[in-house]
Amino acid sequence: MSGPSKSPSKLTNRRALAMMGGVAVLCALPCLLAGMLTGRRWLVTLGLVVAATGAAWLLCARFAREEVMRPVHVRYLREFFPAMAGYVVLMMVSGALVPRMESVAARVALAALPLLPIALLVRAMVRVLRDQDELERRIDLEAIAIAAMSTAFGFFSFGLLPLADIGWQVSGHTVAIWVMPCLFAIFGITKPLVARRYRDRE
Amino acid sequence: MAERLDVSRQTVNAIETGKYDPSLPLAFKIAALFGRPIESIFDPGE
Repeated sequence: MSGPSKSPSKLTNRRALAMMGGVAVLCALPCLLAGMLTGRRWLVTLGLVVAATGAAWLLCARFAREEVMRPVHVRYLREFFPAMAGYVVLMMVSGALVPRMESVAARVALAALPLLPIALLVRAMVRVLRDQDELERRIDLEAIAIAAMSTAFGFFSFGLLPLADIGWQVSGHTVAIWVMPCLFAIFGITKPLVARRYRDRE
Repeated sequence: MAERLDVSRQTVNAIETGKYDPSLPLAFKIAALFGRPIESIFDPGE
């Protein structure tokens, strides 16, 4: 019962994950190198996060099924890649230029610059969520709900711990900047677990 | 079949194995694809 495909894409899940992992690791290397050479800790952190994400994608690629990607997911990748690449580049530009700027307005504009690709990334995620099929949407929404609740719970707990006066000194901006990466990381871990519930166990 | 229904293979597999109950529009599409009434494909007791 096979019909003609609308626009068959040759990109498979496994190849896409391997590609994403490779690109992420390649993006992480200059960040790590620049961070270590200039002594900028935020660059090293960015490089480590991107490298860890890339390594996770490469690991997933090893176990993913060789299945042709549907056009909706190919479009998502086409939107996701430029946004992520733009984010890494703008983070580096912003981090390098902000301390050198005299004007407050210029500093604010430069500091907020990485938000542009993140907004594009959010748009890509909303579009894929709307356009994928009903089971895929259900799995994603369940995973996002679990990730949102876990992130909120984790950060709330983290907010309560200083009450115990255990000597932790974490700035508000450090905490705030980690909310989104934590949300995405937990979503990435939760999604395959949620998807397992709908898979046939043979 | 998944291509003709415009859904993923994962979704067809989940419906076949009874892990997921499709929405009414998708159930009608499946029935139309097989050219059979919806109640002859889906059993409400399952």
